[in-house]
Amino acid sequence: MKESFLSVVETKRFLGREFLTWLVGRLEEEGGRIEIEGEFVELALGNRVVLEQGGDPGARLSLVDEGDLRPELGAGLRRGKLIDRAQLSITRGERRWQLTLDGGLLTYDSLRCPPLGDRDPGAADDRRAAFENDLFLRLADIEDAVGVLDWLFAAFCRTRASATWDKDALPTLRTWVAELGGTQT
Amino acid sequence: MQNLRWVSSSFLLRWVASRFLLKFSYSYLWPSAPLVAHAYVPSLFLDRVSPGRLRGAIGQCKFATPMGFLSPTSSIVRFHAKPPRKVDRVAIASAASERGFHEHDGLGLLKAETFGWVAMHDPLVTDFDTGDLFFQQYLVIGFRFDTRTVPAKLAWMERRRAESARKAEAGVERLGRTTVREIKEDVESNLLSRALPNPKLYECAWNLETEVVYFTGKLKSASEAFASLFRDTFGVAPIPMIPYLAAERVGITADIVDRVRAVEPSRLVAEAATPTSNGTAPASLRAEIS
Repeated sequence: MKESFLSVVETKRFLGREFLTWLVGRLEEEGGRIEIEGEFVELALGNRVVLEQGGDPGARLSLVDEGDLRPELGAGLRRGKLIDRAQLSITRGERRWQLTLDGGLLTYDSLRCPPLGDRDPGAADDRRAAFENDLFLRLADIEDAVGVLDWLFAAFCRTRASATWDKDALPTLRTWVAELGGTQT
Repeated sequence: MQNLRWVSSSFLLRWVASRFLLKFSYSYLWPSAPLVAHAYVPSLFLDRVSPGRLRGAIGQCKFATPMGFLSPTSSIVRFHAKPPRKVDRVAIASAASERGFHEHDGLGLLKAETFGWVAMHDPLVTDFDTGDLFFQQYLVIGFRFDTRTVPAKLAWMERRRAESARKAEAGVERLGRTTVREIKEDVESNLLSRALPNPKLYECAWNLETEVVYFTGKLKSASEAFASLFRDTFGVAPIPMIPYLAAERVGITADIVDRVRAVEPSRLVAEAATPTSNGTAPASLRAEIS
């Protein structure tokens, strides 16, 4: 890859991390029920979060806990780190996705889609038809999950690029971080 | 008695391993099963295998999780790639076949990294027709990425052995720089040819309508090899959709995209209250102190 591209990846990595931090803050403060194009989707933070600061891998803080992550999350954010990766679940009706969103690179790790639905009649005897059936269902599931996160990323971009960020969104985030608990380490 | 116990447990483990591999060889849920079988079955059935090694092999089978879209979990990396205005399916299938996975290069040599296209439904298929690749608006194809490694200590010892033999043969105390380099290359090539490949299978689905490529691998070396092979095969370079670039593909106006790209990092706490990671005061505070 070209040096210039790699340079953009590194210098603009904060954008995705700010998105993920904003998203987690929003989930914690406003709840995870979000209306997207007339349909309600429920997002929840899982029990794995990785915080990073700049491009320094030594400044990484990994939080894996069944219990309350908030105090350690607060301590990390107050030290100037941002959320780089977070385990999230997305629920739409009875369908549930789980993934680890890498905010820095906007990639979807360990994506677990809902179970594949029933195959079309006739696909059972035809291996290609069965494969095609399963593939379409799975790709549709992937595009659904990615679509939800793209919608949220677009919402973040609109806020980040507007005066609302400094006036409203950033102060709200700062209050959330301050109230997360945990000691200054 | 102890030996007999090892023999019986060895047979049992062999049987379990073979049943396990055969079962999954026919499953779309684990397309890499034939490869794992290919890599391990000869060692299971032809070699004199110690129980520890056998358990190790079975352990690797157990954890060699599938990487594809149809596996229970997968990691997805997105790229943007604009397909040509008119997609010539036959030409694309032919270009992909030309770059199908082959263990050896054109000179019959093995490399430390070998990669190429395989069919998604069967990783042993490397010659494609349009039916293997095109599924409605998607172009789907598998990507095989093999790595071979030679233990550094072994390479060093073998090099020393070869250098000693060459010195004795030539009746000299020291070898020239060119000869030393030749020996190094020969030894590495020889050891590489004896090393077992570590195959990794990834999958790619290119939505020709939305111009998005989904790739099921995050390993940097594999991802770079994939991008290069994709460009060589399909004539378009896939661009990773990092947040900076993804902004223009999520349905926001060009004006907002430009403004987002120009933003500077925000601080989530007031600057004076944030200790830096090395414990010193922030720059603004240091300025005030001085």
